[in-house]
Amino acid sequence: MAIRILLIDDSLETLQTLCLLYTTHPDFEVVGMLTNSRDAFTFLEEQPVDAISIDIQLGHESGIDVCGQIRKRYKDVFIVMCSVFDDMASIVEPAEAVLFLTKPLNQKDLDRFSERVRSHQSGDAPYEEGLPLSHWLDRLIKP
Amino acid sequence: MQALTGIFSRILSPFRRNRRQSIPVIPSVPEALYEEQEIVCHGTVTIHANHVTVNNPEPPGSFATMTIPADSRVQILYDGEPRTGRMVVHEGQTIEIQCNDTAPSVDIQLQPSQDLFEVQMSVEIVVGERIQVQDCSGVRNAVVEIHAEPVYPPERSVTELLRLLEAREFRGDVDMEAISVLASANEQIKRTVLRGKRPIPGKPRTYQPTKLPATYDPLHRRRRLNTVAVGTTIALVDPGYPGISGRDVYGREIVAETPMVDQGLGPGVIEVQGCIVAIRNGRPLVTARRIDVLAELVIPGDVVSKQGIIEFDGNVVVFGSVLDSSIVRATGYVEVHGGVLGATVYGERGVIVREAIVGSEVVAGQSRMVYAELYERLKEIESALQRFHHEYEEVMAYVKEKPEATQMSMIGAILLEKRHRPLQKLLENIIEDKERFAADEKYQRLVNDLKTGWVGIGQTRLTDKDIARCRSWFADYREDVEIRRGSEPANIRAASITSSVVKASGNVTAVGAGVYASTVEAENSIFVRGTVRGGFLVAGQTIRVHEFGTVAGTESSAKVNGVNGRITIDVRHVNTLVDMAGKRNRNISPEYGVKYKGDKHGHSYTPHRRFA
Repeated sequence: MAIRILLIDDSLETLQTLCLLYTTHPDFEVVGMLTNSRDAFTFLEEQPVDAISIDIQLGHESGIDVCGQIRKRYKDVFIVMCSVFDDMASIVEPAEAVLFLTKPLNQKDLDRFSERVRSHQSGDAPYEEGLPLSHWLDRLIKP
Repeated sequence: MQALTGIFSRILSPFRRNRRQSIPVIPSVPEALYEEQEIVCHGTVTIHANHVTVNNPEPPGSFATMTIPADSRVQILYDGEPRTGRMVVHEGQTIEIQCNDTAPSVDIQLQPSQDLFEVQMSVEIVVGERIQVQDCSGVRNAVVEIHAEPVYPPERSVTELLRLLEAREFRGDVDMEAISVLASANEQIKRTVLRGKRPIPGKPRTYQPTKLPATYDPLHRRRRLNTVAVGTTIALVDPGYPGISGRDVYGREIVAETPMVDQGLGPGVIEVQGCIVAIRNGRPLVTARRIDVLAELVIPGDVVSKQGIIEFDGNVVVFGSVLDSSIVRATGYVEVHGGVLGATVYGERGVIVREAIVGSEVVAGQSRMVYAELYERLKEIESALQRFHHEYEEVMAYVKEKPEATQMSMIGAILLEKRHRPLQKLLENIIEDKERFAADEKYQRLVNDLKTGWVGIGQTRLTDKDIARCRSWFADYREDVEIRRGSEPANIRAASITSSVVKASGNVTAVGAGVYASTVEAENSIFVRGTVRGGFLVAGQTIRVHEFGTVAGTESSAKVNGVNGRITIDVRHVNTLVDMAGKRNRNISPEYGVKYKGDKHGHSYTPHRRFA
């Protein structure tokens, strides 16, 4: 099933370009394009989405603040923050359901994004690779 | 005496006459000086043939002296004690001259060359010295002078030099002239004395294209071979010849290499009696990698969606435009003499559009891109499988020692699910992507094998052999994919690109107005003669743009991934982003003549500097 994505960016040309990029990727379906965050909450109430792409600089607004507000209300939505700056990752990415991508985006970025969203959606339990093998075996073999 | 006095009187007489002047009086010569001299015998030294003979003086003569230099080559012993400096000598002394001659020496070295096809012999000669004291005879003050005569080593015999070669087990053609020169050398010299036989590489089998008629194509902007009919000879086979092996200086055989030529034949040609012949009508394709005849599908007008999907094994030539929702896929080139508007075009060997690409997806060289991505995934799978196999073996060894362990056949599945989930996901992705590689038989076989042994119930019977077999499948397939991803890059050219996604495994060139609100990706380079307004440009090596961004500050981004790449922009407006191999720059004032090369940024100037 395609990932339903909402695009938010204050630049019309960038919004168009992102729309093109996501539309041509088989894993994504663009369900909306907005130029500000005010319309986003209205949109989200009417139409569910799986992921949102937000520009870090939304005109006079801070994309990070918008991200925080959305995460509070819509915990299941995966957010990707796009920026021209590459030094924001450490601020943005501590949350599990947030990915940071730098512009310009390309096919590989979208592949990575898709993988993260799928992982998040499947709610994978952390796998037990971290355990030393012998401990893991003892737990396994215990009758 | 009286005569002398008379002479003096006559000389002095004018002076005597004038007694008033003060005239010096010359005293008369004492008589003693005019007495006859006695012959005095002084002591003498005679040196002859390094032997010293001293004669004592007769009184009142003085003893002879010897001046001995401080020179390590000669030692002069006076009564057994070495002395230097000026010495008085007499007959009672025992004076001995000891000369320290140095013997000549010869050092002969043999050095094979790095490629082991030559042996050089070097003769280093150290010339000796025979020391002799200069002879002198009956000298009162003898100064010992040392004379050194060079002594050369005796000549070596040719046999001796040849024996040296034999002792080191060198075999080959001996250069007797060089050996003779070395044998009689009196100074340091080096010569090649033995040569092996270098292998002569063969000539590979190649194809020599025949002279086929060609015409200038204004859309391609070059001469192209005309289409040919079935049976036309496209090339002639040059069979080449095998190489001739050689021998190194140890006599070991060195096999001649025959260089491989990576030129294969496509499905449109066959070899018939030394000729490469077309088996279908179409356009010949002769490149360094391939000879083929590509069929051509010519569409005289526009392509519209009601024609359905056009998929063609060969070139597609559209003399109109490709319009709304149409899909064209070709294994050769796609040439569009109009525009591509709201459509999808895939050309494996390239796409050329005379007019604009608007609201479309255009991809050139999709296989190369897809297989490049697949190659990376396969490498990842191979590493993950290796780790999985290693752990599986450890687990099986551990479990065999535990009597309470049951259902050992499940170990593989449990291990995969609990500890190697990334590997499991990778394998699932390979299966899910089956459609994308529908034409790839090997891929399809791999998917079927994975489905039976690695997914679902098949997992519960995983054995060590299954894992080893799986690793071998992926290794083989990865080698196959490595060849496919190395196919020739394909380019895209259009007048302008608007609101489109354009991807090429080679270059993308916009020769007209420019690129607007589009995503352009090229593995090699992007060239835009006009303006880039908005959108993303991503290239592997080079981006060249005339005008980047707009006066109004439209956000536009360009990125080059290669560390040795370059970005050249004639006019760079504000609010544009340039990423050169990870180094990002966003400008807040216009720049002109921007050049980024590697990690350097040079030759740009801002307006105030331009008018400075």
